[in-house]
Amino acid sequence: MKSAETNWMDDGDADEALSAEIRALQAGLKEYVAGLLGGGDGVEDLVQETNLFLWERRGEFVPGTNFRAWAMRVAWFKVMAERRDRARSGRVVFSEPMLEMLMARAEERMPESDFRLSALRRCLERTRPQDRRLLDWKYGRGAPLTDLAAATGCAATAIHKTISRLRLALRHCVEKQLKEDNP
Amino acid sequence: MKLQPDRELRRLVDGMLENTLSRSEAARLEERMESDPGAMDYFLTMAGQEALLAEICRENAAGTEPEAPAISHRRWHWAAAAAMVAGLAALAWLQTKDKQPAVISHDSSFAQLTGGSGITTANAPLVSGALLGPETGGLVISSGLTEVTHRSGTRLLIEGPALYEATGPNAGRLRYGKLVAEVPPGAEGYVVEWSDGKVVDLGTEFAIDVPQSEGPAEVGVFRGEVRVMPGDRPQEDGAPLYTGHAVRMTGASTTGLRSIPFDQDRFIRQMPSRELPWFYRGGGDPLVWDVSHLMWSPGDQLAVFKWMTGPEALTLGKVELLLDGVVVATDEHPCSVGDLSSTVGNAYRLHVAPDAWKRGAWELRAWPVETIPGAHAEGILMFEDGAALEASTGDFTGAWEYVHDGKRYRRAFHADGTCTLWVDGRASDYFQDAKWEVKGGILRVNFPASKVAEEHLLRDRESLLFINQPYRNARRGE
Repeated sequence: MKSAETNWMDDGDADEALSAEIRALQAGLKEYVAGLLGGGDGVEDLVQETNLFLWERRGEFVPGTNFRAWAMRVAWFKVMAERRDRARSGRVVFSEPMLEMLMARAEERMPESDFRLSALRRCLERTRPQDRRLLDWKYGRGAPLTDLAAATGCAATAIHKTISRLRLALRHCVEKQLKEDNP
Repeated sequence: MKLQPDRELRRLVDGMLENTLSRSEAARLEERMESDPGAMDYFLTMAGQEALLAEICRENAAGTEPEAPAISHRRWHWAAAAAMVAGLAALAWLQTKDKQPAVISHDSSFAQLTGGSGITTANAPLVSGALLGPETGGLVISSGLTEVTHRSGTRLLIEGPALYEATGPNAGRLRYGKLVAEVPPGAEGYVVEWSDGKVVDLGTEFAIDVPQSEGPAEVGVFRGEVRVMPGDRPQEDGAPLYTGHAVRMTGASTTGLRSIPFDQDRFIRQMPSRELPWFYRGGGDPLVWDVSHLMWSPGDQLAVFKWMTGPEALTLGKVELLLDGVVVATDEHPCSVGDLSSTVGNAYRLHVAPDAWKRGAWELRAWPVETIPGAHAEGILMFEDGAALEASTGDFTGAWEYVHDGKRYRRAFHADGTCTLWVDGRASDYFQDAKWEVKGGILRVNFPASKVAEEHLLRDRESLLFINQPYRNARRGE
């Protein structure tokens, strides 16, 4: 049900505002969900389901209340459902107490997600071309390491080490960027 | 001070991100995170980075040709590298044209056919440059891939079977088929409708699949944002859909949409190149290319090998075309591919019978004959469809322009069988006394003092290919 506070806005304006809120939360939701699921696998789908849920139930949102908190609560329940499915199919998942701890810390980190996204973009621009190609293959095309190994003729362990090194290098670069942005 | 992860923590976090941890390792990771907030922060940072990397790399992949990665400390296996690079495509004239939006001049038209690959139709053949609008009816293709550019600059790749109608300068209706729309800045607001829904673009690249027979349509976003409106809710603003997301139309949810995984590989986002690089480094293993995106119909296919650089010539004995690992066409004859004087028999014709053709994993294999240790040659395979073999004398007649080593060349084939060459605007005597003829779709320039002929192939009415000279394709001149 819409609150009286929305009366001054017509439905189109309210929808537009809500769409902008969802759009602004994308980086944060992705980081949040990835932290709880344990990586990038399945994050896109789960964030998409969260977006659609938020849109379907937009009438229930009370303007002036914390939209981010609502979105995170929705994402949390989606993660819990996904965790249950993964556990049933035999996949390794975090324990519930650990998930609660991760959730609390991930929520604190969420407001800085856009800064991290922006810093990561800048860091990727500085990446060596050969490293960038590898990252594009893994993350842009979603190629598993085994496929990369087969395609390049390299041992999977060598590619795994390269990816691990790049992850760490990007983390250092992002932290440096954030420090420079906020000395 | 941020935590510097020790070897164990790095291994555990990498394992969690790659989904390779055992239960006991996952328990150990939990133990580390529980006892050390720095370890938890490290994990959350790396997990979040993993998700953001996917978003950025996918955005950047749009509109570019992904390049195969190389791991520096080990040499590439050349055949695998060639196959991969070939599969990813490069250098087509159509792609060059992509960079320059097509100019549509006819007042009553809304869009123009600006490219195609392997197009078959039940009606009259389609030609590049055909206009689409209220007076021309819909674009109907039985198979193949067409590129349509709207007046607004919105570029569509439509995969057959498909029926698309341009209903406005920045609007269209997809009756059925697969469509990928790339909407450049300034053309936001492109609208595409189908029987039970519509998408309004907000500056993006997105895909639609409308089945020809019964079945729900699906919409996915490669990058940016669109609004999706199910047909029974035309008055609504539509549900927003963001990068990497996809929905299926369904009457069973309150929005009329159901969230689904976005299978991006189902859609073709770039016009596939017909020019596939090859790198020969000796040995008898076949050179292999993935040509799935170039095989749209049965009939003749032409594989022409062009040498570009390297001290040795490549010698081949057989070329095969395979569907899902099974050979369906073979041309066996000796061939040498090198500079002009050492290139012989470099065109292979492969016939695919109608009952042998279907969509699938098509692969081209070329078998080297001489296996010179440490050999080094590089070039391009031009994989052309049957239409290239139907070119006649009239199709070649006229002027053609190209650039090589920084010089501008213009060669003209005159109707009387003579030809002329200009270099940087000055007439050259290179073609003095030379005569040209067309046999089996291939143009030969014969020089009286030499047994070696220069050969050309016509990809389409605007593109002249050099078969045995390492030059870029020539474009039709004024």
